[in-house]
Amino acid sequence: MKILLFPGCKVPYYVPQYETASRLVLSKFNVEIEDLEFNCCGYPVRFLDFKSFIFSSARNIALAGKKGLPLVCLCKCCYGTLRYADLLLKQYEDLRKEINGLLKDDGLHYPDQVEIKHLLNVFYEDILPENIQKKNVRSFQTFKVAAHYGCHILRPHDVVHFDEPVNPNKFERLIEATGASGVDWPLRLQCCGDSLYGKNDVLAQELGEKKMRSAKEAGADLICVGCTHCQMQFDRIGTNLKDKGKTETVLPTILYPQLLGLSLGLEASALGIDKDTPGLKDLTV
Amino acid sequence: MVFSISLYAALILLGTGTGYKVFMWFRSGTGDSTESPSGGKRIKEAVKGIFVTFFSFKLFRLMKIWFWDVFIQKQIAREGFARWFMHFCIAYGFIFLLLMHALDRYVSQKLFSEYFSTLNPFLFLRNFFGAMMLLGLAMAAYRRIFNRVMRLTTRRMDIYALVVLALIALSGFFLEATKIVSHERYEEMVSEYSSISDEAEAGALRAYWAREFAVVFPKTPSTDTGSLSKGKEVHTLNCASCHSRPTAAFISYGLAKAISPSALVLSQKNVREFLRYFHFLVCFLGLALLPFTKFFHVLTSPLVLLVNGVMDRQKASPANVATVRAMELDACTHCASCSLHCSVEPIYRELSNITILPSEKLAAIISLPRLNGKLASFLPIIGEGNSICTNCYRCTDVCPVGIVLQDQWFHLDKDLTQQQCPEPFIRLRNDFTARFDSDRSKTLIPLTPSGKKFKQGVGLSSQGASFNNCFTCMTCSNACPVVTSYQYPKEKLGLLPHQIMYSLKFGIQDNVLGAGMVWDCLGCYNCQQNCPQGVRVTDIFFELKNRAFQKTRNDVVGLEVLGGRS
Repeated sequence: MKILLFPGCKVPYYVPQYETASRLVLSKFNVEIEDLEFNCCGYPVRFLDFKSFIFSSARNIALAGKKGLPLVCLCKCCYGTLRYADLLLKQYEDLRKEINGLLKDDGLHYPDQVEIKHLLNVFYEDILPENIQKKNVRSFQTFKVAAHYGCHILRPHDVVHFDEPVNPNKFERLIEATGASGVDWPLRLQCCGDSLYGKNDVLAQELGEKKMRSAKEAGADLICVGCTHCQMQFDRIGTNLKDKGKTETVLPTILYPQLLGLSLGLEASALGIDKDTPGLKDLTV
Repeated sequence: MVFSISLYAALILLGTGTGYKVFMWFRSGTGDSTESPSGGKRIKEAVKGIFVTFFSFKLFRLMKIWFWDVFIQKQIAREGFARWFMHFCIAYGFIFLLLMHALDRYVSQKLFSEYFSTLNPFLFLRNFFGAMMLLGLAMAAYRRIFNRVMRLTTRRMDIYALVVLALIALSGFFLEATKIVSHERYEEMVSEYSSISDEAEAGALRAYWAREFAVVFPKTPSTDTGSLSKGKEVHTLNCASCHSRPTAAFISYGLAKAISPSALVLSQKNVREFLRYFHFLVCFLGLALLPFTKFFHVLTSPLVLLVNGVMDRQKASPANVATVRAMELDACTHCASCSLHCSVEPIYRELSNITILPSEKLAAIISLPRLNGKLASFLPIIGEGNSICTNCYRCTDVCPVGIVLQDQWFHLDKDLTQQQCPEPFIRLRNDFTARFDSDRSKTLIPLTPSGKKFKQGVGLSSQGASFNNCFTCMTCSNACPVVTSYQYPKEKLGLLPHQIMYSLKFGIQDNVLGAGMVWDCLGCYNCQQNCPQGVRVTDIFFELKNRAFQKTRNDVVGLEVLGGRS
């Protein structure tokens, strides 16, 4: 299988370990990766200007269309945004015409069909949990891992496709495939709060803390995420809590490809895992 | 005399200008000015920093950077071979001409005892380097004309740089061509360097030079083989030791051949003299203005490459970081690599705010101190441009002169906040929520609400006016993580999601943009996902914010002044 990787703007500098771990793990399942210089998906300007968002997304989709390969996002906000733009551009011919006019400047054209996936889609639908299980060389069964779904892989369901939006379980199944145990926790489907960071920091922090608390109370040892923004938010929440002297309320976070990589027997350092993070140490032994 | 005076004047201007610029590196504060220490302290810190660096292992790193990034210019090659080749041709073409030709008295004559500007290989090399320069300049011009982003970002300064260099090279070629064909110059040389007294010898030499050296005489010398072979003899004795055939100067020779029909007119001294003055004065002009033009990068870019190559901003003293940031503004070559790779460049094409593009944002930062009175109208534009940046660091990664652009943006952001110019989102939220009417009992709402137009004009982002289906079951409000995180949500949020949907349904839209709910929406789609009526609640929130942006954006003027096109 060959894919185009869409890391998104934040990954290369803020969460580079997400990309490193993803590339490494995907290579173990014989997924070949091609790279293109994509632009911003348009998510950060959705609140500002509709056309800016649509054109940003469209340009990426057109680039992928030219290559004829599926576009695989690491970030769920990128994923949701690209899917949404694709849906609207397919539905509204006038919009597509207008956008095609702009794409022409770059020698591009809006393609008929491009598969837009999130990394978790690739693991669940293409690689399959049972194949992940087969490659499992380590057992984390004593580890209770809280699956943090992330908004834009579930909602709105008529736009994005991964799992049933109200009662999903595919992410837990992917986690269990690595040998760890899933946890049922009340706020697992709720937003991490990252999108309000810089806009309403107090609320952003509160929402994140609430989620962390909920996972902790449900007995989780760590939170597993599959989204750039969620990872950044939980990192930030953890740092802020430590600054406030509430170290005991902090739950460590791990990115799904990192957890999977560990289960495949890969080195923690190769997956960008900081062994000194409290709570992650036991996992990497 | 004229040349000496103008050369010294140019050198004095160059020195003063450079001194002024360097002085300003320690004065100007970019970023939060409360953090920027005073000039004296910055100079002290810089001296300390340089001293410490030179006596550490960092010296080896500096040497490595000097070789690869300054000398070989490896970092330009990352942008493709053509870009590297283009810059190499211009830079090294010019440098070699400067050393071998312009400074021949100090360089070529010292290195080669047998140096004569009229001898090969110098005769050939002068043309070769000139041709190199012209080739590079042609490539640069082509790029600026035919690449969309380059066309967009090309400023007067970029054109100035290309034109000045082209004029220097072309005037040089033409000057040489007019010298080649000039019989006056020929006679000067004969009287100066030869010992010919015999008229027959002189005639033979003329015949030979007319044929082999393309000199055009008023009276065409004879072309019979006898006088030609005699001419050759005279030439070998008198001229050959310090004058090669001009065919080696392949461009000037070609030009000489092309102008030879009108050579006698041109050969009149004043055209040659005019070209000579022109060639020299353009060089001096470029030299004098160097600190205030793009050419300043010749000095500053290597400096920034070296400094940023060994400086760890986390550990370095803030005074030195501030100085380097000021220095970086002078090091930008405006090559637009950053804008070519910018992740949000497509957004520029919709919003037409040129400061979205990093190269132009930096240009705006450079011009900020000069804007003084007009600052108030520019800041929102630059603020909008900067807010679009996603901090992907790509511009910093690709910058061929190693400017840490991302750091410039962070400090611009600080500056803007300090100047009470928050990013669009904060500005919009503050403006609109300040107008929120919390006590509706005192507001007269017309019986026929004015919302019909609003409803019809609802854009695609909300998929039509799906709010019409709302029957206020409150599912959206109960599903909202923002609503449920407040004990008294109405106080904090003004209107709850279901209230906003229901207001819109009745066309009452004057108050919705003022509701904090619209601005605190996470975009998590919980409300929309759970709505039993298919109302696209989250999308409508996005659309409302889009409308607020459009409404206020029309008030922002002056885009064109910064080079934005609408």
